[in-house]
Amino acid sequence: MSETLKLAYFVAMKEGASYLGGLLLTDTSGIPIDFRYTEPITPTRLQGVLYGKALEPHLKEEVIQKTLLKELKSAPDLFILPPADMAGGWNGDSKCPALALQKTQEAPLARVGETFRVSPREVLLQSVEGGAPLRVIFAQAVDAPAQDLAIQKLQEVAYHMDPVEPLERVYAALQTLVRPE
Amino acid sequence: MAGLRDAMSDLAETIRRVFKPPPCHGAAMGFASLGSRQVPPLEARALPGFEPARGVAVPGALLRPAPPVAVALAWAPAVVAEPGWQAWEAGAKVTVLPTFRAEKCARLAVPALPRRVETRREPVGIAAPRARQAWAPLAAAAARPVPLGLGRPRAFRELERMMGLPVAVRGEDLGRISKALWMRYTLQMVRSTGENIRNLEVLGLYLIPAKGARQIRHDPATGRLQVTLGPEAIGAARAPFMLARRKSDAEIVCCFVEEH
Repeated sequence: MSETLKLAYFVAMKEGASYLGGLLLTDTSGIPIDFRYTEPITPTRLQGVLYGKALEPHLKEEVIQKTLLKELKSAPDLFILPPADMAGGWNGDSKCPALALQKTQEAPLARVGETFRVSPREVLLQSVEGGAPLRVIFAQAVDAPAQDLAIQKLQEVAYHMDPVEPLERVYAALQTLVRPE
Repeated sequence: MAGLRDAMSDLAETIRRVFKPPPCHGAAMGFASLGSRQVPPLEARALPGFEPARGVAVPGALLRPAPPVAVALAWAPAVVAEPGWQAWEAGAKVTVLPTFRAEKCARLAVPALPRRVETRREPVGIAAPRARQAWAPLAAAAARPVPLGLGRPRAFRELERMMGLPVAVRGEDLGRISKALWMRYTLQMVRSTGENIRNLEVLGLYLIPAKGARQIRHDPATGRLQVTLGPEAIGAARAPFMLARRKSDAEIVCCFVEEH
């Protein structure tokens, strides 16, 4: 088992009128190595009007993500986002393959580790025995060789952990930050 | 002779006037510009009123008929004559015409007809009405810079908070573990729990931090182990952790199967 792989789980969420983000760095077992979060950013009404629909992508990709990545001491091997952010056309520059993982209802592939390419940016990965495969959606900036390398790392990671689960933890941690009990 | 010269001079003048360019007079073609003027407000002027009629008392004598008027005409006889006839008869003179004779003559230059008639150019377009400025111009607005940049937020590190959330650890694939290693692990399980190996049903083998595990919960549906970690787990080495169920009473037993 390789201990060198680091997975970065990035979540940026909107709470009320504020935006905040969190970045969880885990090892291949899903054990946290580092966790950073930003203070909530509240755009002014004027900024909201002038930025328009570009406000949220700009905040997530340019402000929150870059701030959090800059805080990390070493670059992660994979940068994992929620599928909704990837579907919105992720343009962030993470210096490592950015991808989203989504559970599916597809029929299981023949064996664990097998992949099936659905489209130039989508790959089905059989992560567990007998279960539904995972849908891996790559960012537009990730070319085919980088995708293949990322799939290999995911196969290795999926052997030890559920690669989707840490995103839920980041959500939960951010919720505890904005809504302290 | 002088009379002939005068006649020729008159003729030359007549010809010059006949052939001179026709006079060209400018006509006021443009529209009068619509100047904006201020119309003095109407005002009512008080005028003196009519003199009131006054009654005059007339004496009764004026109403009587007038008496007849007597006009005296006097005729004075006088002898008159007309002296003009005598003056006309005495002052009549006979005009003697001079005889023609050869004289030097001069050639009169007939002026050429004008090649083109001068036209007067006048602006025909409608004069633009002059607009009266009714409003004072607005003063230039001062531009104020608005900070639009979304500044970099501060980032905080709080790994302890994340450690407090349970981590789902997937069990190792027991089929990929060598038989020798499996025997070593089960032997360690028997030593640690004191149970007979035949009374144990192994649920899974998990790699979890060797230190800092505060709470462990097994999810039978997924086979995953929910591990809540403490700060001590930060940087701790991973160690194989075996989970088993006692067949006799269905109790869960567990232990680290490698020394750390």
